[in-house]
Amino acid sequence: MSSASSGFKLGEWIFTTDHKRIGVLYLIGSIAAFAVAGLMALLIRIEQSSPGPTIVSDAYTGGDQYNVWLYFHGAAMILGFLIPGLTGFAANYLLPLMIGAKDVAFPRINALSVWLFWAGIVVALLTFIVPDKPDVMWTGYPPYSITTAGNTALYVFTVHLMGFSSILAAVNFLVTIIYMRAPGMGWNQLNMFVWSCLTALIIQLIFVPVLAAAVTLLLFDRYLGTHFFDPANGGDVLLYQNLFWFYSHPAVYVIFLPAMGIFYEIFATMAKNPIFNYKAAVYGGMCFIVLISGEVWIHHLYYSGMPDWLRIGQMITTLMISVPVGLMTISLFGTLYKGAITFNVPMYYGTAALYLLLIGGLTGIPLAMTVMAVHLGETSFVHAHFHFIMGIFSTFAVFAAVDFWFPKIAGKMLNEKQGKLGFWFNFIGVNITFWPLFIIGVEGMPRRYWDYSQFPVHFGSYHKIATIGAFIVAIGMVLTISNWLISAIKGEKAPSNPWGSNSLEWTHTATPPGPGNFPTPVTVDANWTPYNYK
Amino acid sequence: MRKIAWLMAMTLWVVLLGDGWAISKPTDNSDIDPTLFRVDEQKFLGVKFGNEVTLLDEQGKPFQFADLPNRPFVLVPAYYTCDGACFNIGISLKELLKDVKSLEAGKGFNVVFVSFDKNDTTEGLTKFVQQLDLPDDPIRGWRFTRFEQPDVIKREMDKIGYKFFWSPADRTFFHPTLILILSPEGRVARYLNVLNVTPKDVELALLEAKSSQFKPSESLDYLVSLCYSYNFKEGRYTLSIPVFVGLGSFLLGIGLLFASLGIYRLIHHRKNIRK
Amino acid sequence: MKRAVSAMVLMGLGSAAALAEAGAKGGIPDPAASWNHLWHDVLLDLFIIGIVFLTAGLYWVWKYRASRPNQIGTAPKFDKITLIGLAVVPSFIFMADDFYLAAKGWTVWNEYRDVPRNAMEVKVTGSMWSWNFEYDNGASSSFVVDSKEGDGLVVPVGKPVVLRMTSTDVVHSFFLPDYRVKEDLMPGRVTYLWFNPVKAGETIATCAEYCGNRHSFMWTKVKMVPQAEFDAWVAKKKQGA
Repeated sequence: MSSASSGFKLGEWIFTTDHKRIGVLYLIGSIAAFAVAGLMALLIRIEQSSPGPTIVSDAYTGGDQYNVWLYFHGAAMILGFLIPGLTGFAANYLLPLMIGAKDVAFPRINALSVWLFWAGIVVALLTFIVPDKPDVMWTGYPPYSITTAGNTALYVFTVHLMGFSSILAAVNFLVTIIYMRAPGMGWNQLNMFVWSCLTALIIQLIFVPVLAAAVTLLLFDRYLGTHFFDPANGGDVLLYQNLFWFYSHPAVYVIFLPAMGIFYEIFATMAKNPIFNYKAAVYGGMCFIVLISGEVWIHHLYYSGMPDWLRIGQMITTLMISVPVGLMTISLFGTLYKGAITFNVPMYYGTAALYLLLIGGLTGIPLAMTVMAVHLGETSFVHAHFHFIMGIFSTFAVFAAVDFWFPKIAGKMLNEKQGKLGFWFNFIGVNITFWPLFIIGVEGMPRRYWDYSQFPVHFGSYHKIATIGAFIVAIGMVLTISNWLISAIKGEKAPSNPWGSNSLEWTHTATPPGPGNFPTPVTVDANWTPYNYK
Repeated sequence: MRKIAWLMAMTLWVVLLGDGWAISKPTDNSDIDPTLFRVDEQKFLGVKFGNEVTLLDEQGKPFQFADLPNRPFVLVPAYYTCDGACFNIGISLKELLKDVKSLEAGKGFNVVFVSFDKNDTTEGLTKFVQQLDLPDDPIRGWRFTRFEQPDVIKREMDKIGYKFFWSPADRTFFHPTLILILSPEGRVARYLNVLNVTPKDVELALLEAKSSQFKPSESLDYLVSLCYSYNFKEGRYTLSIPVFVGLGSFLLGIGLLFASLGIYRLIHHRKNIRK
Repeated sequence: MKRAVSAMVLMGLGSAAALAEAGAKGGIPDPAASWNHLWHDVLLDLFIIGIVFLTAGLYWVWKYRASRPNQIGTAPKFDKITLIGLAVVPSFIFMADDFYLAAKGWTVWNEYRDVPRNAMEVKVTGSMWSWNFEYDNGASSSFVVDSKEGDGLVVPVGKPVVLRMTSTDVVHSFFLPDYRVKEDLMPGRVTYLWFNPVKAGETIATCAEYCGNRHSFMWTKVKMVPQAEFDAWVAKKKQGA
């Protein structure tokens, strides 16, 4: 795609060390994971559309089939799509361009990290081939993950590969951002997306080893007969949950921050405005999240038998997250103030993101309160909450990013009509899918259930509506992704800066950028910012 | 990376070895099958002791167990005319508690002896206490009690899974050397064999039992207690390896952050020199 | 703007104080009712924040759309003090709201964890994939999902019930949707929850922590019956055992 003159050579792509090609490889892999995990979501929704077996065979083996879909959907969406889609694809493609660097600091390590990611995707897909399919959910809580007949090793190896891949990527980008900025580029002149990746990758680098260690101990317990999490032999069941969420709550910010970063870029460019209160959003928002992210994980264990004082203490730290997130939200909204907003597909996603951010963020507040979570936790209320804020908000960010930078990446314009149609299907579909789940969640519909005959009859109709929504989303996804494929081949040739952006990747590089990114080395002066439109 | 993995494996091995050495052999000096007295912990943990039970204190005055100060308890089932085992339990407990530094009997927790012998009297009790030779005013931290109504003894002891029986031939009670750690509201938190544990085990059990009443001044002790977990098989607290692995990997992450910056600087420093 | 802000802060603090007074009532509390009450307060809070932001956002999106191509935004350049104010003031509003919610949540939470002294104890054992209930007199009861046989958990109306829970295999969670409470069960640990059955009737409890194949089927009937009926039932159960 990026070299228009020479023909397509597969080997060049596989052994590439060019950050832009690596970025595209990340995108292809994560969209593949997204597609399969999305199919699993449809299966889950079809099964839930009526109480009792719908597509699973019967009440006794149904769980075995359904749980594998759930496992794959969760693990692949988070580890295979959201994290690599944002910190793999978007970060790889955009960071060096935004800071005016020729490439990343360690290009060969970058190549290794994308290979590991692809290996992780392959291992994850083995789920459908092995006879003992993993069924431990993406959380893998012991003792179930140790005693189940399912293949826990596949889960552990997927985490290992994805984790190692993201550690390498994090090391690489942190060094790149810190040492390879264009001469003259100060910390307060960085793109918001660069800042969001910097903070997200610091979290990723610090916390991923903890997850890797926890799942490794799980592997030892399962296959080598150790007793790390076996209470009968001095182990502690709760400890795994603590270690797991010590990583996995910060992981939410690894997804959330770059997603916010993408919307900042889109808003500033489309409204032709500077970022509102840049320093508050960067230092009070993003940096504060890094500091606080490691002190809130107990909210995943509010009803798991932790000491009472800890549940109360972390209720306060968890509620405090509203401060940095609130500052970032105000900054995002404020960027529109007195702007000159042009509406195109990325901005459609951006406007939807305002709404998703509010719904997802605000429904998080009752879940941060210990006593509210004692009822709402593990119900479909939680399920709808994190789908709004983590699932859909961030998926829309990836879509918006592809749409926004598509002219740069492919050198072609997207089909605007199809993009908009896809957006409306996606946006309406997710609302139809997840609002019913909020409602029955409050009434007590538990997560991870495929049969719910014990609950009031009307749960069935809510589930049916949600299933219809899921299919509307599916149509939207097909429209969106096919638009990329068709436009990459048949699209109109893109002008060099179609959105009139002031950011380096639009102003100083060819479209698409060639090897070495910048024809001449970039320097910026003290007045330059990516958002200086006056 | 391989080096790091190797290092981690080595630390793990050393910790495991240390654990292996520490295993003690249970002392067995009685001719009765000790498994007879084994408590099925899974069944009895969390049981509330002394709900609506009236006890008699050292002077024979009745009081409610529920009225005792709201702290964790060391509950010692015993009988006061016992010449061997009960006395040994008392002495061992006294020695153990001497080394429990973070909590003090009477301040951080209560020691409560309850008699399961319906024939125990105030006189026998007084003699027993005198023989124990407790250092300071015993009434503050150590309480010696009997049940007011003899017919509830069996019921209350059964409720917490404590087994004992009278041997007419030996004219003594056969009973285990168990002490119970109760939470402040009187729920059984741990069973410990007083002859098989260290002061550390008692301390950890007490800290665990009072974790809901934790005070900021005890945070250091509490943090230390998180490094251990109870081992049902050995009846003792053992080091919780995942805590250290988790902590180690967290430090590894922070180390990676600084190491990567350092390595890049090093490489570029060299390149610049070559130029 | 500033006046509105300070009014909101005062409102938050005022309600927290009013709440502290209301918490000091006698009698056996009804945590589920307190939960429902708090839920409405929280919803109102969320609704206000949501409406403020959403209206501002959508209004700006509509109002500031570009009228001609290549138009440039005219955002005012704020001085340092204003910018700091625009960060600090909202931060304090958010924190005030956080503390207000935390104080309310804490009050209800204390109700949840403060088990009344006269509570009846039932031992709950969770295992893949059924619940077993044991009463103080030794009676034991359970519910078979497939045949719908058995009474499940039976409790007397008007008496608080505390469940002492443990698991024999994996992590489960005892979830009583109608009483707005759940708590996990684990092997090797004992956990509690209590609830106050104020009305006679029948409801369900269900497993809320993923536990494998028959997770969806790990539920039980819960019956709230008058004291006399309960006494007869538990006595009969004991004989049967």
